[in-house]
Parts: sequence; C-alpha cells; structure tokens
Amino acid sequence: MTTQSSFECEQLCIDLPGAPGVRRIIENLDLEVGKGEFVSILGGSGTGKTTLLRALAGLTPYSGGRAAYEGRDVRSPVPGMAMVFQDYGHALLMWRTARRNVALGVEGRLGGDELDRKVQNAIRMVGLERFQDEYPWRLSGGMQQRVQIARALAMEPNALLMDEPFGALDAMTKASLQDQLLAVQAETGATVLFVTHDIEEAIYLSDTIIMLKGSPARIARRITVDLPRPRDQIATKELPEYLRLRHQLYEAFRHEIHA
Amino acid sequence: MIATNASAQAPIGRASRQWALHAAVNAASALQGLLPLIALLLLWQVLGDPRSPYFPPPSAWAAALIERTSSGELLPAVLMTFQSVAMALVVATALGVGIGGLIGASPRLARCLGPTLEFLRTLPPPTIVPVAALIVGVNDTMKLFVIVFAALWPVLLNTTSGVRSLHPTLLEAARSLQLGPLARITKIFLPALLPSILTGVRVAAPLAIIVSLLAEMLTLMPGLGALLLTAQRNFNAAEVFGLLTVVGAFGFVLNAALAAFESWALKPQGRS
Ligand SMILES: Nc1ncnc2c1ncn2[C@@H]1O[C@H](COP(=O)(O)OP(=O)(O)OP(=O)(O)O)[C@@H](O)[C@H]1O
Ligand SMILES: [Mg+2]
Repeated sequence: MTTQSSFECEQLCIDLPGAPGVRRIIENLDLEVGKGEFVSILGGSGTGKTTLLRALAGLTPYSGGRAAYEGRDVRSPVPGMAMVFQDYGHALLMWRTARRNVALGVEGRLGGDELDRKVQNAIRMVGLERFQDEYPWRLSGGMQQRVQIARALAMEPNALLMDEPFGALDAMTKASLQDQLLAVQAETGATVLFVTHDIEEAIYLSDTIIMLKGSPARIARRITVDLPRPRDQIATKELPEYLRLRHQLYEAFRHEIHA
Repeated sequence: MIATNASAQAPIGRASRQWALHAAVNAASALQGLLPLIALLLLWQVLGDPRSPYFPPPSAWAAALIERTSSGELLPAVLMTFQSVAMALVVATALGVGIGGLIGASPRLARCLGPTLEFLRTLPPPTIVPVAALIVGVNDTMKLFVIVFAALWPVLLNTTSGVRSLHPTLLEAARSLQLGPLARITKIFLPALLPSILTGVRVAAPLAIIVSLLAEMLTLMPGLGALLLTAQRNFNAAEVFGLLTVVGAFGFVLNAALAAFESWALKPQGRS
C-alpha cells in the first residue's frame, strides 16, 4: 500500500436489508483514490452511489472485502473526513441559524475568534453572508445545501465526501459553487469523492470518473480526465478533450440505459 | 456558541417584541373564550338565592374565599399544591425524557421494560395513594411519588415515539461530524425532541393537578385538596364552590404558562 492513497477498496461487498431479504448492493468493488484526487462517481438512480459513499464515510457497514482511509479500515466516521448529505433538509439542525449550523462540527474544539473566523470563512466560500442569521427552514433548498457544504468546509477536512451536493441548485449557482469547490480543493489539497448524476459536471470537476453499473453494482468504467487546471466554465468546456469525454460518457450511458 | 454581533441584535430584539405582542393577543383570545363561563356566573349571581345552602351565588363564594384568605389558610394551600405539582412535573419530565429516550433508542431495552411499564401505566394513580402511604408514610415524598407516577407516562411515551421518529440522516450527520455522546444529547437529541417532550408535559400537567388534589383529599396533607374536603365536611357550599373556582383558575393559568413556554421554546424551529 502506498502512502499516497487516500481511499482504498478491495473486493468491497455491501448488503442491505430489502423486502425479500438481504440484497447485495455492491459486489467485489476495487477502488483506489489518491491523496488530493478529485473522483466523481457516476451512475443511474438506485445503482448504489450513495451506499458506496456512506460505506467509505463509515456510516454503512460493509459485509465483505475492505474499505480503508489513509491505510486504516473504515468502520465508523473518521476524523478529517466530512460528509455532505444528499438529503440536506434532514442533515441540518432546524433550531440553529445557518451560522450556528456551520459551527456545529468545530465549536467543540475551537472557541472565540478562531471559531468565528473559520465559520465566517466557510460561509463566505458558499456566498451566504447575508443569510447567516436565518434559520434553515427560512432558506431555499439550494441555500440549505450551501449551509451544509459550509458546515463541511468549516471542518477543513482532508477528505470531502459529497452526495449530489449541487443537485438542487440552479445552473448559475451550480457553476459558481463548482468553481468555489475547485478553488477550495486546489487551496487545501483535499481529496474529494463526488457523487453526481450530471455527466458534464463530473468531467468539469474530476481527475477521475468512476461509472457504477448493474445490480449488484460494479465499476463499469474508470475514466481519467486529462484536462488542464485551473478549469474554466467556458474555455475548459470548449476543449476537444472535454468534448471527446462528454461524447464517450453519453455514449456509455446510452448503452447502460438500453442494456 | 458564537457571540452575537451588534447587527444581529436588532432583529432579535424586534422578534422578541413581536413575540410578546403575539402572546398578549393569545391571552386576550383565551380570555375571550372564557366569556360564556363568566356570563353563566353573572346569571347565577343575579338569579341565585343568597341563602341557598346548596347553590350559593358567586358573591357568597368570594366572601368565603376572602375569609379563608384572611384566616391565612388559602394562600399557603395554593402555594403548597403549586409546589407539589411543579416539582412533580420537573421530576416526571426528567425521568420521562431519560427513560423514554433510552427505550426509544434501544429496541432491546424496549422489549425488556415494555410489558412492565405497560402494566404500571395502567394502574390508576388513586390506587397508588394508599399503597404509597403504607410504604413511604404520609409525607411530601409520598405525595411527590404519586404525582410523578401519574405525570410520568405522557412524557415518557411522547419521548419514546419522538426518538423513534428522528430522521436517520440527522443522527448520521451528528456521527459524521464527530460529536461526542454529550454533544449529541445536548445539541441534537434534546432540541430535536423538544416538541414531543413539551407535548407530553402539557398532557401531564392536568394529571399532576388531579393527583395532587386527590392525594391531599385522601390524606388531608396541606393543600387545596385538603381545604376543599374540609369545606365539604363542614357543609360550607359557598367555600366549596369558591375553592373549585380557584382550582379551575390554577389549572387554567398553569396550562397557559406551559403553552406560552412551548410557543417561545419552539419558535426557532418554526413550529410554534
Ligand atoms: N437504508 C437502506 N436500506 C435498504 N436498502 C437501501 C437503503 N438505502 C438504499 N437502499 C437500496 O440500495 C440501492 C442503492 O441505493 P443508493 O441510495 O445507494 O442509490 P443511488 O445510486 O445513490 O441512487 P440516487 O442517484 O437515486 O440517489 C437501492 O436499490 C436502494 O433500494
Ligand atoms: Mg443517492
């Protein structure tokens, strides 16, 4: 095992209870994610993207094989990792203002000015300065999701696990948050595992794209994205390599849909 | 917690004023709801016979109450009953939240304790009074025990079902943020359960009053119940009616206070 790897799965199997009994969701999955790498997980609805991410976050137990983070088996949530849930409405504390939600993960070990600074910084990164004293139930879905992202960023994680974080956002906010995320990642060198439905988003953000397919799910494809960084919403998306990857992935998805 | 800065203070001050206004309007509308009762009492006063031994008019009740007050019996009795009820509610809430929380969180514990608790819950609290008096003796501890015994269940059951209906994502968020057990209880569980707990307390409050009066009547320990029973034994109908009004007002005020507290406490959750 190299010291460079952040996440590692070997023959990972995950079973979840279902109506007819235990159902295998993920089977014999091998995966290696390098430190500082940006990996997107693509796949149709219900393939097991969330399940895989949750197993790597230590929230879902796995039944076979191995899932490791920085060389150690993951069995429960690990310090240094932050998770952004798909279901933002239930991941936030409705009785705390946006700012105090952002503080939740760090207020236990920081205090005073340092806490304030970290929280403000995270809020600024997602552009919620004007709404920091609102309660989440008074914010739009996209704004609630940004609160959740800020809460993860405030922890200054080494690894960021994001489950369709931009799914609820309009195109403009989405593009701006994608660029924010890339900037944060370039600055902090965090490893990012990013689940998405959106092929173009996956190409624009990632170093590597993993396509999950089948039931139980396996990795159908692993695509290396060789686009220069820093990326640009206009210039990057006009590069021949971008267009080629886009073509290739849509093609692959068409096959999956018709399979 | 982060210190609130000056700019955040203004809207908070305005919000609390708005809330006070809201509470005043609520109180006014509650009093409005009492109008039929007040009208009935006025009618009774006008049409009633002041010398009737069984149905004396409200003015006679007032006179009887004033007499009890000047003899220095009424106020201590009200305070005594209030103290018993308030203390029992605090103890019942603490116990109910503790036990109910554990049962809600652990299916195993629910299976172990479930039938026993179900049995205890169905015992009518009045039947506990003689047993408790035998074992503990006629004292404040016994009184507290029987009131808590009656007031515990609504809080306990509400807390249990509250824990069971917590969204798994909320608990997972807490886990993935590396919150310790204490932080999880104080920052996640208790605030999330607050609506369920308060509903339980509001159901428990009238039960606590009932059992407190009952215990006072059965044992003649000092309190409103004992005054009421003494008045009845002396065939003092005016005083009985007067004390009944006091008991009614007592429950009304307690419930209104709990309702106001609930709406204040749940305001941040957008659920008041
Ligand atoms: N808590 C659970 N218990 C049992 N089965 C589950 C649970 N959550 C998900 N599943 C099952 O696991 C499979 C994969 O679900 P998962 O949520 O990982 O899909 P996904 O790829 O994230 O889908 P989507 O894109 O719609 O979010 C589904 O078939 C689902 O029925
Ligand atoms: Mg999902």
